[in-house]
Amino acid sequence: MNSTPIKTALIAIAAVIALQLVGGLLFMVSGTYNIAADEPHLKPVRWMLQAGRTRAIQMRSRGLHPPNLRDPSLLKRGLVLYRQNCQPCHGGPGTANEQIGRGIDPKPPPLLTASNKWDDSELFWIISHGLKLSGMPGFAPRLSETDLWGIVAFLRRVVLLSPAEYKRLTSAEDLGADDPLLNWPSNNDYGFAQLKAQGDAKRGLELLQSYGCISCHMVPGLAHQRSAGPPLTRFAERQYIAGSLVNVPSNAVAWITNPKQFKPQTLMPNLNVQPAEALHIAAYLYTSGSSDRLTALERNLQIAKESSTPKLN
Amino acid sequence: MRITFCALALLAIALSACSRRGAIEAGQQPTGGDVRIGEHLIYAYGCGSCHVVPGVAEANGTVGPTLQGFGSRYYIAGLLVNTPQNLFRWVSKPQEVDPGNAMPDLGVTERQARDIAAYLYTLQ
Repeated sequence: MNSTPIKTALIAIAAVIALQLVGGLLFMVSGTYNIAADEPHLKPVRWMLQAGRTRAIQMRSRGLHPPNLRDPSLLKRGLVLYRQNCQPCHGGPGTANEQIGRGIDPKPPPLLTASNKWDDSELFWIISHGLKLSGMPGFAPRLSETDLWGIVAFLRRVVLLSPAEYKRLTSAEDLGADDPLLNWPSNNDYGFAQLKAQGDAKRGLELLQSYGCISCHMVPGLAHQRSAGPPLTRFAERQYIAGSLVNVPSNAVAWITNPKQFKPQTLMPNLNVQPAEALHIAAYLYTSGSSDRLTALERNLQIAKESSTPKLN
Repeated sequence: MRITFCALALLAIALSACSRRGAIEAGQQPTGGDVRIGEHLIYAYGCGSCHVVPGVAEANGTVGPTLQGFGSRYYIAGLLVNTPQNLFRWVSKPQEVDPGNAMPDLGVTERQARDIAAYLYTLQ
């Protein structure tokens, strides 16, 4: 007697599933969904693909052991391979991708973004195996394991290079292994320690107001007037300052203190902000946006400092 | 009660349609470009890989500054006054304007730069 409601429910569930399957099948064979690469995916489809991809990469890249990625010879190998195999689709700082990389959907992301998003093993896995339905090929059969780690090493270094440095690096015929661009700076922490020790975000907010930064920039947390320059929202995620300097604490402080030393033509005035004050301002600006990029940079600088003798597989 | 609600809803729709038309006008009028083509070009050239561009699919990059509110911005790239002519030049040849900056020359034609500018000026 009391099995009847359960039975009815089961039949209803089965009917719904069957209907969904038929509906899905009809949708598939009808050809309604646009698979053209020059039109974006529908938002839910994009979300599904991205979420699934992220999980798959995380799952499958477990248990890989990166070699010492700070080895200059590994970096150099990665640079050459990057230029040949990655730059055509992904471009580089100040360097456009080639025609072949432009018509792909999803758009091949700038590798700065990828470098901040994935850890070493995940990057290695992506480059080795490629990604279905994305245009990203797998390089594993054609490149050796050392070559693949070389590309990962280069991706780690490239996020700390300015567009000008990148251009020099990729246009030079041959670089010596002692070239500073191929080596991780051992005594330079790009101002992270000082920011942590002395930067006072609250004081920074007051300074942003008193120096009148808000008359040109939208500053998160402050009412702004009119925008002359770019909004400073999500500043922590921004890769470059003024399109030319890598966004690290030391550069942020130097730029705020004296922007014209880097770009004499810049319309940002020199307001005689003291370095200690600029540090507070930077501390506040870095509270806006996700901290993933800065955390990734800091982690890599830490490893650079700790890395001892180079060891290759 | 219900009538008031419907009337308010209709008014809201009408107002948003007007402001959308106003925004399109703000883009089209000074540039002579086509806002809808511009929106597609911004997607197709992958501008969104580096910039947040409100209203454009997948445009959520943070390599460079957000283009939110670009229509009311005074300057471009911290170097040029934000006029249509300057914007055409910047969009099509950023490396000529500011050699060595992070924005690459993507081969945007002059016609396309007009359409892209038209879209950017709708962002208030």
